[in-house]
Amino acid sequence: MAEVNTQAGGAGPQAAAAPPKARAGAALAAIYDAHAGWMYRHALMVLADHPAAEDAVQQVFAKLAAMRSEMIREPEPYLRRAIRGECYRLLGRRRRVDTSRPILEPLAPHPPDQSLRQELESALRNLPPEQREVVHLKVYEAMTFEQIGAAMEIPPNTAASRYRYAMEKLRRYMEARA
Amino acid sequence: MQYEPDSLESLLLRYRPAGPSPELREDVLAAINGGSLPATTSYRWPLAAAAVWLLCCGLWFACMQLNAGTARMLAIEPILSESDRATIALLGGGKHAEQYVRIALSTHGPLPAATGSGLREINGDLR
Repeated sequence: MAEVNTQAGGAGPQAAAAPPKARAGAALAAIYDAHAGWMYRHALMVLADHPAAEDAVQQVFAKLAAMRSEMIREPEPYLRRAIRGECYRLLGRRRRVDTSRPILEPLAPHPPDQSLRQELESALRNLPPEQREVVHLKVYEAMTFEQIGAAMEIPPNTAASRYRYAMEKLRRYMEARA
Repeated sequence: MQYEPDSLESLLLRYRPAGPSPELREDVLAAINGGSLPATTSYRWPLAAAAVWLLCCGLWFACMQLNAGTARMLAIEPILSESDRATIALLGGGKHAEQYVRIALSTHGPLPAATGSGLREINGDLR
């Protein structure tokens, strides 16, 4: 079983004096606050579906709650593996994708451009989940291909070629729309 | 319109994947604190192992009971012959006489004719 340190999440001295259940709850809340953002974004880019991404995050935290969370030392690698596993498990089971909610949100310095967002979203939805995942890790998490390879358990060259294919597909899609 | 990989990346970087809603945090933490999240496989296999162990114990106990019952059923006392019945009668009949003859049968084998000399012979052997 992976070991994740909930102390790193900042449960605090008050939590140490609390009963074990409350302490575990506070520790999980700290882990949620520190990691749920990137976990959800990762899941959303793989699944391209908000309800499925919510399910994936909930399932990961359900598993975490069932573990002896006070033993957890390295949250990020464990959570990365867990969220990926949950995403691909959900991909194998799902029947419908909810496209009603946007998967991209504008970043502050740029003026919101609805048509561009819709085109990018549509192009991203057109990619296979593995390619969307590589694009997400490279562009939005600024990972190197070595790091992407380690996270996805593939060789770095495979990660690089997936990224190239994905960008090529995105480019062709966007140019066809333009 | 032409898109270069770098320009495509910069277009993507004008956006980012949407984050989780605040309600999700409330739902997840409420479920964890309320214990209503579904049990995971890490708890299922020890339960299954415990169930199999209990089943094995039950089967073992049932087999032992069946074995004891069969042993009791098979412990049938030997049928007494006419000669043995005559010996019992000669000894005055009753439960103690029958018990005496059965002990004699188990230690001595087939009894001699139900006569006084035969009984003396058995008595000698039993002593």
